Amino acid sequence: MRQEFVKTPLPCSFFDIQGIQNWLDEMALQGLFLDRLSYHNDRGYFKRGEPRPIRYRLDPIWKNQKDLERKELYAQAGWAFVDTVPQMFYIFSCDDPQAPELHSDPAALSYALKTLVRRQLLIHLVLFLVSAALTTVIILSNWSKCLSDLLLMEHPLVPWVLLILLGCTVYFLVIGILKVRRLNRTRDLLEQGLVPKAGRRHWRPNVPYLALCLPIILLLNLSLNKALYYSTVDYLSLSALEPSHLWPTIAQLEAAGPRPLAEEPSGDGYATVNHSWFAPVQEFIETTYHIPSFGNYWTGVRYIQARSPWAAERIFQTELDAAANYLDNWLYWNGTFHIADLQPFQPYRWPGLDRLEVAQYTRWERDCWSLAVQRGTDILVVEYVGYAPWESCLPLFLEALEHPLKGDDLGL
Amino acid sequence: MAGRTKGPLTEPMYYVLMSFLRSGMCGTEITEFVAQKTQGRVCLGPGTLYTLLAKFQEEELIVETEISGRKRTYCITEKGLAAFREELARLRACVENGEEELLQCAKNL
Repeated sequence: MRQEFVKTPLPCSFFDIQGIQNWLDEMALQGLFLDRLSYHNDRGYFKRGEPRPIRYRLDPIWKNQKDLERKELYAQAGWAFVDTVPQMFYIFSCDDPQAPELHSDPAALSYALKTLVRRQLLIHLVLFLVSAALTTVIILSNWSKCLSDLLLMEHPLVPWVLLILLGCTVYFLVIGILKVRRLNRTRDLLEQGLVPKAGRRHWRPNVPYLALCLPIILLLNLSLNKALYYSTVDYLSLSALEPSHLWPTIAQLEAAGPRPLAEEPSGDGYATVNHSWFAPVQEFIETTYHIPSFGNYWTGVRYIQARSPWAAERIFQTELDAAANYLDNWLYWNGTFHIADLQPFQPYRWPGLDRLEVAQYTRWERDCWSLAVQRGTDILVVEYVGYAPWESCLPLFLEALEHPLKGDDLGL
Repeated sequence: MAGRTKGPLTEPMYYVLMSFLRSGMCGTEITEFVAQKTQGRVCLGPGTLYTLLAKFQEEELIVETEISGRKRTYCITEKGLAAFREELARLRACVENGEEELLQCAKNL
């Protein structure tokens, strides 16, 4: 049994007025009479009937319209109202071949299109601005993270996600420009008294767009999530790590403080390694030591070798920001690792170092510190929970920096 | 008083403006007037008429003077009259120019 209603995708753009009108006229000759046009579904809904010639015309909606009067005036001239495409067109049909054209003066039609052009321009401008503002806010509010990702490539797909966001913004701009340009071209032709030709028709799938879009959106969402969390950082056990330098041990560090340890304790922990073009050597070593009667000690050593002083400066800043955020987070944390009495990072001068920043706080009721160092292309961030002061420990780390285990060039 | 500033009127615009010269008119009367005046040469579509009425109102060439039920009557304004005179003068000049040239052409032949 044949269905009474038929829905068909539009073969051309909504803004190809002549194209849509021709298509609707052709459908009537096939016995399909327009019931409504859906802009958002990009479809026409038709009722079946005996094929006969009917003219369909799109009448632009513009300001100061008096709809009822318009419809009555048109009805008197033989044009029946069919449907409204909100904010864009009224659609009228006429089956009397003797009735005059709906718009007999192209220049008047051009004038009627003016509001539609302005409205489309406004819509696309707003879409572009909102998209651009969102992208800017997202990038700026995560600037430090974005820059860090770009330089260290710990999440190498994040820049691509940002590129996709930027691409969406450009897409809105291009689509808007194309639509408005097409409408303006139509207006210009009409203004000159010419009737624009129908554009090219395109094949469109006759399946609900939701059925197409939903899997794509889900897939995109899933891919974006995967991309955001995808990491190239390798996690290693301490024994599997081949460190870039022979960093001072806890016993060596404590020997510089008021409570030296009798022997080197064994520690638990992990290490991470990564590399990028800007920073070929990246490693982090975290070790916890539990020493009976002395309590817990903890060290976190992050070393990065940048490709150039320019990259080193930026990486240092992002690492410093990350270390400061890390301390801030523990300050408001109410668990075991809670810190108190935080004196945020402050710059210090130290011979041979380009930058030195130190933060001090208490954790597990002992004075602790974190320091961030830049020396040429070397960046070192150390967090320490123990008894030795940073002034005594820093020379040990600088000494280690002087003697890379993999040779002077490291990964460069 | 200066008329329009947006270039010449199209033929339907010219006749629609002309229709108000004697008295106020409503939509149907304008269509009939134009058809009668041009002996069916200019056929005013309802979309065109409706658009032109709104356009002329916006440009203050005509004003709405009476609403009786759904019938709206419009009258020409001073500005509208000036615009019509301007267009008439332009058309006159066009015709005169054309005739002069035709006359010259005839003499040369």
